[in-house]
Amino acid sequence: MDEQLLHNIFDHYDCLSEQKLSDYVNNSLSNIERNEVERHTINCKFCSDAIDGFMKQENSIANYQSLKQNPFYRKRKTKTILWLSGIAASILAILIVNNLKLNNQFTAEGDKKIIKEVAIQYTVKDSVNLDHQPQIKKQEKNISLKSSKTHKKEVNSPRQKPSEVINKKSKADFSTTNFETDNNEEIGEIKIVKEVLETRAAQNKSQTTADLNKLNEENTIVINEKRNYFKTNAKLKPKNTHSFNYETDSVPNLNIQEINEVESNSRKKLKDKSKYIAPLSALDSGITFYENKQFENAIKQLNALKKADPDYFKAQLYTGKSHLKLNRPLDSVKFLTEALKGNKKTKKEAKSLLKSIK
Amino acid sequence: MRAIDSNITDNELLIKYKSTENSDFLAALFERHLHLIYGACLKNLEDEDNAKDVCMEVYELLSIKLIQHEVTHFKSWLYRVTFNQCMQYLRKKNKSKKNIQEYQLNYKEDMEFSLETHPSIQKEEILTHLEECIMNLKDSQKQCIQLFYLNQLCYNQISAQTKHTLKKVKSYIQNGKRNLKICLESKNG
Repeated sequence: MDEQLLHNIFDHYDCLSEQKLSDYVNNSLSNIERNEVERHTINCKFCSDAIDGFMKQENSIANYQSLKQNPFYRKRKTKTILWLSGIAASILAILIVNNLKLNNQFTAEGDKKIIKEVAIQYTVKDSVNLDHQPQIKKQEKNISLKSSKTHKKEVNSPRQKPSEVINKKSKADFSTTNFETDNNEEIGEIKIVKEVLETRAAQNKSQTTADLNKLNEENTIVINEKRNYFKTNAKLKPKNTHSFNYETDSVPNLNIQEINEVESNSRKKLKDKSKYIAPLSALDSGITFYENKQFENAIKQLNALKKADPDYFKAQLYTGKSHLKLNRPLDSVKFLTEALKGNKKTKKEAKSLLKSIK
Repeated sequence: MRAIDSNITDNELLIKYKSTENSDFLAALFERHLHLIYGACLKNLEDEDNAKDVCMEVYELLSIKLIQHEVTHFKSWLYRVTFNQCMQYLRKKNKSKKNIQEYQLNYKEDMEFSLETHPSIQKEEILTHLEECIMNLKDSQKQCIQLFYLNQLCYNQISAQTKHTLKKVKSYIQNGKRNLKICLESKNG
């Protein structure tokens, strides 16, 4: 015997590379290369299992490549960062929307005050100079229009500082107007508007805290309503019914999140309930496979039914029939004899089939 | 993401990961063996999606256990972790007991060799007794061993030549090799 080849029996080989493994599975290796791979796998459980696994499943190499192209082990960090940033963004969005709602209320009230005060200012001037009367009316109209416009602008830019808002307002309100007034008058108007806006900003601060308190109160009312709803439901519905028990006896201090969790759990339970009737659907799917001439799949499906199942003997009959169709009469006899223990119909069919086999 | 030199051995990567806890090293180590992990999961779970899930679980587990434990034989340890994770996954998924029992039976049949996969017997000592031991093997084992190691034929060729099934060919070679090892060890005292 060749000494060099005798050495091969206990030689050490490195584990299979990705390329070699895929080549082996795809049958693209020469016989000697295959022998080399097999010499390693005869000893290495890891590699031989991997080869068995890849050989068992169709398109397994392609699926593995897709897994590698989308490497979860490299994406972990970015995923968590994305996840956190997503949460942060959603919280910000909620805060912004809330702010906008509050601003809507306050600016409307504030605008009314500005108009009133400017109107008062002009009526005072009016008493001094009656020639300005038609212009004042125009100004009042313009200001009322402008105030609604500036209110819209404010809504679109909620993060602006009060001072910036004031400056922009003053520019926006008076730079584009067609007033035929003196510079001194304009300065006076700007001052008035500035003062009013400053007082309004101060009011906003106090009102926002007050409104937040209100919102909190509303939330607690909602929570209490939900709690009461669960409590009454628990009282109304007797135990051991098919409706889901929310275990309300032990949840007197639930908040909204907890209540939502309970709701989502109940939905999960409903889904689980639908899984509970799987054996029946296994029979149905087995029969449909049989009818579609997919006998191997039918056998796999029907094997899922256990002895305790009421449809077990029917499943045995169909398994026997599937084996018969696959030209495996010996296997089918085993299942058909088991089917003889079933109801009249299955017993009759099994008997006739067994006769035909004999 | 740091690029890691492909010449670094598994053990070096392992030590670097342990000392720095930098997941780049772990990812590189994991990626080197992903084809084996995924394949083993496919064999045990028979489903690609489940296999992917278990691969992720194995990665999570490695990130913790490699720091906690002292691992000397990384590959055999990794195989054991993957196998255990597959078993856990099957139990979690409430697969029928039959499935698990079937696997355990196969596993026992397959475990003719220890997980310390590559036997290290002194070559010079082997050669003096090897031929004699081969001659003492059963006919089917002797034939398969000779065809496989001395004629360098692959399973398919041996199966075609001897008309044994592929499974039997593999089994004869495994059993033959085990018997050879026992024979050599007894002769060397």
